[in-house]
Amino acid sequence: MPTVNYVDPAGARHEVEVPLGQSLMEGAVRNGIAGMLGECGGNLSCVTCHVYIDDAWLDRVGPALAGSLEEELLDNVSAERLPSSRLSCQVHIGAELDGVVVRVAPRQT
Amino acid sequence: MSKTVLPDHMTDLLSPAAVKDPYAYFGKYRDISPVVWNPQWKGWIFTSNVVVREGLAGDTMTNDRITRFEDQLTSRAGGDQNADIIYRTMVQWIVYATPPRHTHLRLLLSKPFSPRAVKDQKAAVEQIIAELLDELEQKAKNKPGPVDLLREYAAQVPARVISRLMGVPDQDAAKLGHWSEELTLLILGAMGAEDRHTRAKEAFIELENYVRKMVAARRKNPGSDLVSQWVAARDSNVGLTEEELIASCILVIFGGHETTMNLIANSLLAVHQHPAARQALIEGSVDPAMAVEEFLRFCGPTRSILRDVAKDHEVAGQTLRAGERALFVLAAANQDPGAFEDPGMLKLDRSPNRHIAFGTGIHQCLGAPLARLEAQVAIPEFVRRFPGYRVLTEDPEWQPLLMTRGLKALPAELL
Repeated sequence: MPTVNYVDPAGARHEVEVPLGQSLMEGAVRNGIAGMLGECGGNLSCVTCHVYIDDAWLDRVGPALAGSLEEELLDNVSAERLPSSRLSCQVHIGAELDGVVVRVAPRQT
Repeated sequence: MSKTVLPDHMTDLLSPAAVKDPYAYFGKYRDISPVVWNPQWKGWIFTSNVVVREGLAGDTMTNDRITRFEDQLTSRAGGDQNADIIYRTMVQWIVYATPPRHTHLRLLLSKPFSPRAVKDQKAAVEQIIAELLDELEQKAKNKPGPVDLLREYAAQVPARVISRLMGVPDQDAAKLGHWSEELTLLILGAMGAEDRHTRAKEAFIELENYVRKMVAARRKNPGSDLVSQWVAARDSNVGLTEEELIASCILVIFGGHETTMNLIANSLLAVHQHPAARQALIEGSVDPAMAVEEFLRFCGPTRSILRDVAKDHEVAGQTLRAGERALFVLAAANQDPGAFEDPGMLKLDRSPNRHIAFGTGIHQCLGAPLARLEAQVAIPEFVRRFPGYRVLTEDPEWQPLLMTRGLKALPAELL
């Protein structure tokens, strides 16, 4: 099972296993990572699963696709939007993301 | 095929016990089965945290209930003409829309309510609440005696916030609140108010006229308010019809009032009943954002929400058929011992706290960021201004509403 490294808003790092196909949001919620809300359950409605992908992983994860709903919704997030910003419900874990590092945004609402 | 059916003595969703303590009442449902058939209500009742969350977030349910809702209204004696005028607007509401129309509307309408946009409203909300508290303090000085915190404070907060957000003058805020309250009778399922259709219709006609005038005025003289933003969206041909625009303004007025009012009032009652919580709020030893999440879980304003089963499926050992109706009891999900430690205890620093007070799925409350902000200011600021306030009844009366957890009044002494 791939490993995901979540860095919570306080800076603590949590190494957890996330099953293939699950989203970064689900992985965080299921493991009780602080700062993750994901209130709409992965339906692109609430923008409360904002994360920053670590620079070293940005190429492999990729940015939100231009013109996608996620890309438009990233304008609505509470914390600062950065080039590495993603809505974590839209990033699904594949084998190539084993070891990925993501920072949970400091605020979701 | 399998169907667990409630015994007859447990089926009245608005029995005195169910209205007084829905947590205990629906906890008994959950003990029988987290999904159970209510033969009197003729639908499925979802009560555990897991089934409520999964049912609302997945694709087994739909909220496209408006056609049937219309049928219900028109089938009632005397309800036909009343239903027609309200239905024309409700059918446009995003709450009943399905993708892809829902997705499109949500993107357009959610901008002014997004976490980003609401952050910019913080100073304005703080100012409104400081003004309200000044007025309350003055009133208490001039005319000592009991004050109904529900009307005099909890209702005033959302009324003024929504009014300012929409660019409505303060003196009209009370009107909007009144119309919203009348509509509640119909939409949130009041029992016992026999004239509810007539009253809701009258309020609705007035509200709709008001909104149409407001939209016309903003079209002529746009401002930076929410209505102007939506008018601009409408007029730039992004796919928002005039009827959707009008209906959405009405929805904001309606949706912004009752729920926030009840959240604030329920919380002030809970604080009165929990001295440790009061002390923590007075001292400022608890993060207001965390405290509000716990109020949402412990005494949130939405008792339950309705859905229709979208397709045949099995859940918790029950066989559900497309077209059957389902009641998702948020109050039960939020006090499910399977999801929360000591669920019946108010712990303002509870963490983690994955409550479901705003629902989940595509229809998760669009106004959640604004409601959170209002409560995060309104509750702690009230307690700090009146640290010794006393609620004057130990057994307050609750509204007998299917979908709402709200008080009839909250008489208090301001100290």
